[in-house]
Amino acid sequence: MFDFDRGIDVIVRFHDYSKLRELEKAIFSLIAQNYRPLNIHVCLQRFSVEDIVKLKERLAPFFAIENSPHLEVHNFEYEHPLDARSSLVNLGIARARSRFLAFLDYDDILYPEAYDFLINRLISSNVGIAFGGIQLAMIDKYSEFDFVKEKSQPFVGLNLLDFMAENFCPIHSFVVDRTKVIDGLLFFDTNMNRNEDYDFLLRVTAEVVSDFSLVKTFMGEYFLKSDGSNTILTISATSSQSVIEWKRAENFIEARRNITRVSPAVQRSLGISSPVEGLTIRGLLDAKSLLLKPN
Amino acid sequence: MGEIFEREEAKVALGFTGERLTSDVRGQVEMEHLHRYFFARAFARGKDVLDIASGEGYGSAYLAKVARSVVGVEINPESVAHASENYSSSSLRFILGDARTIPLLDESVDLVVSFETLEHLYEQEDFLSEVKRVLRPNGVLILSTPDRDIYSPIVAPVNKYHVKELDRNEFTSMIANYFPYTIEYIQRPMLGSAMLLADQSKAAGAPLVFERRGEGHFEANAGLPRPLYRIAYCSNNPIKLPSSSLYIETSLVDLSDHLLREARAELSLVSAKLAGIEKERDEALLLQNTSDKAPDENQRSPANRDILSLTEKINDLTTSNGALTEQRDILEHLCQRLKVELNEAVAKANGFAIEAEAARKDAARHVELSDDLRRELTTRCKQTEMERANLLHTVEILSDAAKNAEIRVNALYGSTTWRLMGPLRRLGRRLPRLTNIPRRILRSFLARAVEPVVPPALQTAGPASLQPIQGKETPQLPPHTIEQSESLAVKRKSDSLRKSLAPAQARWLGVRRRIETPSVSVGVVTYNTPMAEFRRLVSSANVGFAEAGVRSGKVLYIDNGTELIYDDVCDLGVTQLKGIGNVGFGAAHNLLMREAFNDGAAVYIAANPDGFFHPDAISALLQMSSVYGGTALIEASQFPVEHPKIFDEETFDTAWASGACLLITKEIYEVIGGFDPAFFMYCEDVDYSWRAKANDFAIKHCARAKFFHAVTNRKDSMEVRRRFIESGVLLATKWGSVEFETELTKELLLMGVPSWERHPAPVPRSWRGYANFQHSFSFSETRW
Repeated sequence: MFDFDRGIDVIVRFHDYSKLRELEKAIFSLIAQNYRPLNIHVCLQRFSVEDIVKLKERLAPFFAIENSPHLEVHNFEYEHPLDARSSLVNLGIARARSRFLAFLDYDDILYPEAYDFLINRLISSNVGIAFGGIQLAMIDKYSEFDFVKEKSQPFVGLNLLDFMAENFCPIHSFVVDRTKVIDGLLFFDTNMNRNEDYDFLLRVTAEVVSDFSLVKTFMGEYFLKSDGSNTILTISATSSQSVIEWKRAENFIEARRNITRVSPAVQRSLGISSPVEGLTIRGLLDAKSLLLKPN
Repeated sequence: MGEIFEREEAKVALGFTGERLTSDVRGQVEMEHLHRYFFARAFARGKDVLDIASGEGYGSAYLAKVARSVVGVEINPESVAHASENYSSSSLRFILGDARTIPLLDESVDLVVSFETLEHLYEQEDFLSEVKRVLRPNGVLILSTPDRDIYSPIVAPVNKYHVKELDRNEFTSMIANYFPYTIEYIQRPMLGSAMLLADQSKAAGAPLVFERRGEGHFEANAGLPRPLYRIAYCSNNPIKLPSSSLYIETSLVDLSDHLLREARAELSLVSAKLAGIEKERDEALLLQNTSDKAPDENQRSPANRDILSLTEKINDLTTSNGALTEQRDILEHLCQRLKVELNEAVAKANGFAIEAEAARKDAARHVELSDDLRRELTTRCKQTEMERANLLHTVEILSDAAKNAEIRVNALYGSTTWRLMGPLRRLGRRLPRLTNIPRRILRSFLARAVEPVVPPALQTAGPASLQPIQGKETPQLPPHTIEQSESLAVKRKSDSLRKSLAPAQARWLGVRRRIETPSVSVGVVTYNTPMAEFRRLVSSANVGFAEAGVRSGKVLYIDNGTELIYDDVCDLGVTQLKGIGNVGFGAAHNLLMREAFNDGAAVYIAANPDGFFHPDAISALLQMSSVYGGTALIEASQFPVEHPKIFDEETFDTAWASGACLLITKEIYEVIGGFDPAFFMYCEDVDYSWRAKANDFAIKHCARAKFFHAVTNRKDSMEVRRRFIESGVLLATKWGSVEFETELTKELLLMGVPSWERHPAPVPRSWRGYANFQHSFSFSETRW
């Protein structure tokens, strides 16, 4: 299944067979996407042969539904790194062959029009990456179902400068046009198991022009679980190790802001008529009050 | 003269920690690294090069002067930042990355350079696999690593940054697994003299090497003894390389040698002069003493002359001695300065030692902290274990009670009393006030059967966890029960409480129920439905039947529009009912239901044409339906956006059931019939649910059954809004809510819709308690 002109590859990382019910929910939301051609790459973290067989059997009925997307399952088999979340994404990217690229975590979902809207936006505005809005759903996880307790919209940024200052774009909120982004940028840093998607996006958005005009249109949901099993920084994540890891990730991101240069094209899209050579993300943020036109 | 190239140096060098070389480091380490990079530089011309573990970046900068492109990949963000800032070139870039998962595409470089990196990795094989992946087929790897046997002999201190050093055999055999052709060099920094064949083509045998071994001995070898490093040049193709490579550090070695020789010569000259002067002075003093003792005039005059002459000599020599002393002082000053530098170096070393000690103490503190956490977790585990034991005990009691209840219910159904009361029940459905009689009987019967014993621990845990089951199962749940459930939902936060719900949830969902393969019909009312959507729905129903093991599943449809052509869908095994125009959603479903139940269906599932089933949805609906023996109206959970109305997390009671995907049993249909055809579209499902409740049927939300329903980002049209409000008016009129009716009628007038004749058959006054107009069109408390 390969369509470089129109197709989209979606990379879904999955690390624990016992969470299959959640993966099925994510897959169901992809089956329901209006956009085609769509290739789903489920990237597994060190699954046994038996579990891979079981997983494929469990997912097979979804793909018996007419006009379903194409499914590929890849297994990351190396022993290191232990937490291979970034490596799983890189594995998926290495296997992706379509023009458009997107990501979805196994425990989140998308609305059916998400890729339709975002790809239309990419094409009409001729940019490298387009972002949509994501709702946050607070859930109690039960063995048979998830109880959605409430929904909110905590992701409050509006534009590129807001994004470079603070992440408000979950991993399933955007689509990348690979004809506009060099392949060398399309990787997740394997040293990171926190904020790895933000690091990726900082590099990409500093290099190619982005579109944030759909951030107020909800494209999917991010599930915040009351059992604390998300990897985001929550009140419950107060163990000393977790705090250290978050601090390290913050430092890493700040280092990224300090070393990553904002391309002339991106500078121009922000209203800087004479781009500054060597301007870093941090430099841009520090000087943002001088900018004429927000993106 | 050969090629002259500039030294690459950072404006501000990074501090040297011992882990990676910086451009500020001199001496042996610098010579080793420069030599390796200069060697690689010779093979980098016009190539795309990857410098893995590029460190401070100076090496990549050398390569970038001749290569087509160089990417320096480095794991340390500070180093990447520093390199990007200090070494700028259009052909050079630095990126953060890991040698074990190199952030480059397959077959994207011609040359990979990796110096002193391998020994920092546990996953050396992963690293070499990655190198192979990014190298083009004719690409080359130049790789160096210390030889463990020489670099780290047992008696020497280990390099703390090296996690896995290899000996020469291990190194050679590991590389051979990846590259068929490899040539290895050995390297060792030195001071010495090079003697190379003027005509290299006449080379034969290993070089003759001589090394000073202490003051009194030399060692002769064939080949370089004790090389610290091994450098491999690896390729998929046969290789021809220079026989050897030298790096000559002329500037420092020659200068130091020259200075040393000069200083030594000067010193020996001064020493000789000093000795001569001292000797002459001693002779003069001796002569002076002798002349003092023999004051003969004849002798005195020549003696005086000698004395004068000697005194002059002494003065000359003293002057000369002063100059020499001055020179000696300068040399001593030089020595002193060297000592100061030495002391500074020692102080720095001590500083490192202090830092290392601080780091060790820090690590110890972390260990203590983790011990505390471990203790805390152990305590929590014990508490959880106790809670679990209590809950298991409760589950056992409840299971026994449930079994007991089932036996009694079965006995009741089989009893003569139940059969005799059949006419009374039917009468009760027609005369609702009388229904309290059998209901009271049933409730008291069930209460005896299933009243659980709640352990004291759980009684104090709060009211949410365990209530007598008959309270949940009683079909007569007024709407406000749902509101109580919401408050319970808010309270249910602790893990243990949530887990305590699992058995009850599994029971009411019928998770382990075997589906008795009833005859099931899925009914779809289409109206200008796109063919692809309809086919998706039908195929998902067929998948759902297969997953549920339902062999007699059917999909019926009726087209309220004119677009859907049967020939385009008949291959899916659907049954078409002849349309009679656009009669509305409910009326069309009524036609389908009548057909389905007349045809022997036990269950009818209404499904919206713009949705489709999760593969497990039909089996989940059927399992739940079997729990209630056909007496529950069950809605599927809409996906990806659920309806926000609340439902009970334990019993799944809900205020009304949505018609987007709704299971209706034959039992319910026989008692209350189909939808009220007065509703053209919207609100007919709310009306149907309230009527079902009034007839003692339960209204349930099947949280396991997901039905995709396209409601997100829909454009709201005035037509849809008008139909919605008109249906709301009908519902309010039928169920006696004057307030809601008035409010909506006003809205219709504002929209310019004239009043219209409506005469829905009102429900009995006693049923009005089942309706809930407090929450606008949600008709229920909502979760968000």
